[in-house]
Amino acid sequence: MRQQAAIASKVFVQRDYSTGTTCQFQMKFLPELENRIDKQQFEETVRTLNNLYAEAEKIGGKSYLEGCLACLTAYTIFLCMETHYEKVLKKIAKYIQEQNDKIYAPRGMLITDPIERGLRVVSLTAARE
Amino acid sequence: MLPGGGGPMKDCEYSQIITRSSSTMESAHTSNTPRRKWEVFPGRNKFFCNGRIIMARQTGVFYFTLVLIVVTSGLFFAFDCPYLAVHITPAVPVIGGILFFFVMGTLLRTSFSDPGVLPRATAHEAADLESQIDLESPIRNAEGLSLCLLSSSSVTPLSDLKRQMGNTEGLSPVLSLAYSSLRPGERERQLACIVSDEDVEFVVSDVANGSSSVGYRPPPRTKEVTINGQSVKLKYCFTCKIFRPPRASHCSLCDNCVERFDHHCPWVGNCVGKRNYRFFYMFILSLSFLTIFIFAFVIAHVIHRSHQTGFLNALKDSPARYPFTGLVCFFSVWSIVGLSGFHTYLISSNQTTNEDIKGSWSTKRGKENYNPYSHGNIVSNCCVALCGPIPPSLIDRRGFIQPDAPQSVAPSNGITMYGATQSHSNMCDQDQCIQSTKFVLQAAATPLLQTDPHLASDEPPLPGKISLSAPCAPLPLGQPTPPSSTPNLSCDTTLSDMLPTREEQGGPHFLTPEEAPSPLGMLSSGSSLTHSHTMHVFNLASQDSLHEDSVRGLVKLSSV
Repeated sequence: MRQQAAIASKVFVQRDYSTGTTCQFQMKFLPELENRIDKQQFEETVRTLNNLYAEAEKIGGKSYLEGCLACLTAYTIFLCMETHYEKVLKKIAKYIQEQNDKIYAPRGMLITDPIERGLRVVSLTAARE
Repeated sequence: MLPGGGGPMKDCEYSQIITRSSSTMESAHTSNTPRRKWEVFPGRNKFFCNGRIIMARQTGVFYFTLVLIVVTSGLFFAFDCPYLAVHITPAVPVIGGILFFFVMGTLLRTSFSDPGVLPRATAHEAADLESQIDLESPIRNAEGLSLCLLSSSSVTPLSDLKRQMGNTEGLSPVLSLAYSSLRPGERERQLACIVSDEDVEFVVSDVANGSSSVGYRPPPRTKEVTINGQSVKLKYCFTCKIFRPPRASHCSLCDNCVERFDHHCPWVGNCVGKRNYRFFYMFILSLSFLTIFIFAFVIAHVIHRSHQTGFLNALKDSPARYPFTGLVCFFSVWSIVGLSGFHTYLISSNQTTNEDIKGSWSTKRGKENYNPYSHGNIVSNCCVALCGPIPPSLIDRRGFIQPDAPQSVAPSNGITMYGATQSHSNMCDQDQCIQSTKFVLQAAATPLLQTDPHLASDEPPLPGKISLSAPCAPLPLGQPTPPSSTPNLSCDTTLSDMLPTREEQGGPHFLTPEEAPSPLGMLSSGSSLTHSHTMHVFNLASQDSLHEDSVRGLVKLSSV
């Protein structure tokens, strides 16, 4: 009924664990999206999101430096500055907003930021009626 | 209840009831204090300082740890340091002080921070996953069966059963409950128990037929994923309604899925997971240094003094504390140093305690078995574990609850539809459902309405007033707070005050605070006079048991 219709209008893109525990989402184009959005567009969005999350979790010189500095200051440094991860999360939020405004909202869809769903899914809602 | 000219009085009484209920609803509706997400967190955690601090429910051992560390260090600083600072070097108290503060800092950081709890799936997500799983997997064989034990009136999932027993680790109380909750005809059946990982799964095998019967819930769901060439099974968590990411595990004590779950440490009063593992490691490492330090310098103190005054005289100064400090340090050294060594090994091979105990990546399981998460060498593994980025908390404890945000599902009793009723916007959609089941409930509750026939003459004011409670606006009252629970949560109020009440109600009872007001409201807006004093009857009689019965009836009839 109406509730089932509400459920059907949400599409969930699940996590892709094939590279390990890093945050990546599946690029599989779900059948429910076929009539609504362009496949290339969707894959582009998911690919960019994956790259952004990979950047957030990247292990390299900069993250080690941040980690050591934080340890030396007994993690009080995070009262003043944000972690690298948080900075990238802000970037992701801005990207999603931008994608919603430019591409998805004109087609009647809305992407929810995965951080609001505990990084479990990217949820696409059909904003109809 | 005066039968005679109690017209106005009766109106007063009725209006009192209504105003009480409607004013409660109004105050809840117009209340401007938005609630924070930690107040409705579904796991078994305690929160302090308005959501800034998260701990497990059992914190007794944590306080014991604190006391032990503080007292031992205090005795050291008070009695040994003055002597040692003078006779050996003043660096002793300084280094001791630094170590002590480091230990306390890392301990508090481990205990108070979020270990990496995964928030539970929303109702929509859970439904989506369920529909995908139903399409995919066939029923598995006996090895993987799990069973929802049927109690007399409701379907009780295993997690609820265990919680009701209050014993998540003991097996035999659950088995005995299982036996007693089976219908007499089923008791002949053998109960076999398969323990796997965190979930205890029961198989009811029919001795007579020699076949295995599956209960209400389908078998455990797993997904195979290949990570770095190694095949890994992802398990479905029935409580959180998600497929657990690799290395995540469900902590039965905290009732949460935790990412990169290491273990639940009662000494720090929290789980140890992805976000606080490095603090835990630094805590045990620095604690082992501290205990060795104290142990060594207490002995040095005694030896130094005994050079001057003789051994027995040296001990005479403060005789009581030497056995205490000595014992504490001796046992701590062996246990804490051992633990630090163990965790150093785990970090260097990038394994969790959970994986090591299960031997997940041991070559004993198979020659091709290796750890897919390891970065190859010890140095990179250590660097990543200790200096890698800390992901932010996923549970957003201090965020405000959005009125139209989807809420997580309750631990299911198989009726996920009602799990979604917590959301305000969904409430209005489900008005239709509630309306249609109103008739069902009326049928179920009719015998209860015969108590006060003489009131039927005074009905006219009632329906109009009760209809105030009919629209869906009051339904947000049904946030999962039992009405008795105080809305003003201070710094030290814990979630545990609310949770036991919710838990004790069990699967279908969970619906009681939310469902009971709305069907009653719906009922009363009906035109039938017999039903219009339902509210009165319900308020007169013992509310709880009637609510339970009516909701149970509703649940049973709706689930058919």
